[in-house]
Amino acid sequence: MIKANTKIKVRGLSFFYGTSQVLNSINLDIPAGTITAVSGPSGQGKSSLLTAFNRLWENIDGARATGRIWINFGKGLEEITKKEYGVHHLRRKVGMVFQMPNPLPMSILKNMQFPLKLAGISEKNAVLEKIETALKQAHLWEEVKDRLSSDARMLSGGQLQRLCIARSLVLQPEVLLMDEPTASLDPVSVEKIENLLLDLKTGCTIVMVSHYMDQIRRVADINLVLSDGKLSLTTAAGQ
Amino acid sequence: MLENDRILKICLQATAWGCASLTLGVLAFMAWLSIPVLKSSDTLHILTHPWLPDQGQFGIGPMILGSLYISVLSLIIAAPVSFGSAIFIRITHPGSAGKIFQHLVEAMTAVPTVVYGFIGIFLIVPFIRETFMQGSGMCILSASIMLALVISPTMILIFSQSISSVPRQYTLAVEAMGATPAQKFFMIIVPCAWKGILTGLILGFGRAVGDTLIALMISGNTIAFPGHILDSARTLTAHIALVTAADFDSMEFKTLFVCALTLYLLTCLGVLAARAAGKRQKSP
Amino acid sequence: MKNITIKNKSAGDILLNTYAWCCALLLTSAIVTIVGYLVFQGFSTLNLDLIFSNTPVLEALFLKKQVFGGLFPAITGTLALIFLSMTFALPVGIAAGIFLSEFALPETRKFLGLMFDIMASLPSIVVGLSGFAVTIFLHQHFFKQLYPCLLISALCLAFLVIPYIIRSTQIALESLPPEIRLTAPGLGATRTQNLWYVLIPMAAKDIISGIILAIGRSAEDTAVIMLTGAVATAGIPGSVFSGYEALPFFIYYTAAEYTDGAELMKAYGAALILLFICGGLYIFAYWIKRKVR
Repeated sequence: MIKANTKIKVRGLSFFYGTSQVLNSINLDIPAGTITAVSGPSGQGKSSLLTAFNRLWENIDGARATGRIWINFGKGLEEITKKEYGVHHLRRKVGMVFQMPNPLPMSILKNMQFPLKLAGISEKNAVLEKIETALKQAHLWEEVKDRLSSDARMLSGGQLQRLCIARSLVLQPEVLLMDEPTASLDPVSVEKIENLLLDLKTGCTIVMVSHYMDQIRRVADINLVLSDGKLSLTTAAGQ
Repeated sequence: MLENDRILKICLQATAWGCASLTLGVLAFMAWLSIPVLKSSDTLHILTHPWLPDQGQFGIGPMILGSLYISVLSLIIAAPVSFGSAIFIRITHPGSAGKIFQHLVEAMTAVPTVVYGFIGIFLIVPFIRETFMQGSGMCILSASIMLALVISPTMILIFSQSISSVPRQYTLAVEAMGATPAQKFFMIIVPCAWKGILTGLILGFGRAVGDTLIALMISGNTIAFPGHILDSARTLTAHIALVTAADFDSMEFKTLFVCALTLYLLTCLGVLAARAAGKRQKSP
Repeated sequence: MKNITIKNKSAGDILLNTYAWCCALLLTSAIVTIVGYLVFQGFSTLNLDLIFSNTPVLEALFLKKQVFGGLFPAITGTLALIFLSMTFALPVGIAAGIFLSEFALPETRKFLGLMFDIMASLPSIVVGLSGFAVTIFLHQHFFKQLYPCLLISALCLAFLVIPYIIRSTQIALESLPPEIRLTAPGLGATRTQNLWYVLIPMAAKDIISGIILAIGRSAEDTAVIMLTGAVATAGIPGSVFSGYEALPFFIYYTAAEYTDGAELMKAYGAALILLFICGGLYIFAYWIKRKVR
């Protein structure tokens, strides 16, 4: 069930933290419209791999990546690792959800508005429309629509993570990076999030780090196993 | 608690409370010594009238204005420069340039104030005099420039610490959303750090009001009401230093205690204001 | 394959960068100009003559002969001040700091913390005036022989620096990892033993660096000493009850009342020496803090 067009192409990616090397010349091709899980023993560079796709490693002390990455945003493969490539522009097209939910210290509405403000979108109706769409995609709209002005930090763990997912969707990114998105959550929230991921994947290519083999079996199309800085590729069980 | 421990605790406790009482003691002492003056003419009179001891007028109005003008002007000069310097250290140049500059700022706190005042006389005063072709150069502006240099390091270090204490999870989240450094600064760092910034401003102002040497050496010390930044002026602190030569039992001398009392109360106000600013838990 | 070259720097970034650069540059050039000017003017005066004038060095050092026109009395005055004020300030400051960090209840800590913040923020001239007023009061009512002197100045300077010592002791102890605090008690130590054998030695580095900075503070203060005993000419202080000379005061009154170039040059020399003393203390404190992390 692997689609023909490549969304993300990686050649020769190596990743270093200080002097220790966590990724060793990785090559891979990720097809569009799929959910790719990245698993493997801890501390083996799974999260680092994610930060290579939005070049967030550049903002992390001690992190360094070499190699080339291309992403197809509808106009063919663009090399995002080129120095001149606008990194802020990149991060608006590639969303990221962290392992621990990180709401900003403001209301739900302001949290959702934030990426739009950064991108310069301020027209009131457009903003509210995009926010509603994203919250619905994250299966959170019904629960928060009546309290958008309340402080985001009041939400429960599962709701917070869905908020962070919604926030990353508000600019309609074509790639979504998720670092163990259900690690800190209860089983009900985990199920909710897995369902929304399956709904999302047609419009959005998802790369997600996960420790849970049954989650990977339920949700992922491709499973990449990282160990010793090297990749081995397996399709999800049942294919 | 063991006997030894109890004895230790009592000794330490006594010392700590002793210091606190000493602090209050100074306040009480200054207040008590001010009573004769405050009784002889009403307080408002003292605070607003001119200082003309030969004519029996012992108002400290010009000195209050002098302190205010010099401190406010030095804050106006120092605040933007300190803020920009903190931004340099934490936001725009967090690498080696910022670290070197931070060490320089920390080292600046070691320079004695009297040295700043001394060099100010021979560098700033002639410069102001030549530039404006007016007066002797010993004026509010010169003193404020030097005072701004004195209070800047503390303010920079406080601003810088407020900026860096914004939780990394917020700044990382915002970076992942595609914020440029300027956007990150204005949209998340400033809203989270403004309390610390306000505290820094209050502490800087307090430091400026409490300084004696700079004003004493550079601001000219005339007793007239200051009207213009190129006018000479006298601060409350310099006034105390200058008038101490007078006879202790004279009315002249006793008004110094009113000056000291005013300064003490301003200090308390500043400390309380800084604490209040630090506490407010508002989210942006 | 299309090349997307979108600028990584927006207008806001360029503005912020420029603003930050200008401020850093302004401040750096200001301090470099000032220190540079001082060094430039004062360096030529740095020789034994500046300190000892006509008196032979060894005789001056052994106090056999008075020094006139040199900085030696002022330097000894400053050193005596530092020594004496620290003798008062150290035990008091450290004791109060330990109390705040180890024994005080939260409400007490808050209240005393406020008191010490006020103590730290008091203008030094107010402390000086209080010291002077106390001296005159005692002189008029009890001790006719008591005048502003070395002892009074030292006590007032101690008042000035005690809050800094309290603060660094308190912070040094409070920053110790919580596990360390439980090790000795777990082996049966009393609180006193825990403090003496474990906590204070571990916090010593930071406490000492705080003390050194307090020393610097007491060396440079002028406002307190000008009201409580520093005079223009006094020679080596004979006892703690006599007047004395001090470097910062020398600089101040020379600036106010110099009559010829030579006197002014001496003040530049004194300013340079004072800067070296304070700078040296600062570097020493920095070095101690960095040692054995």
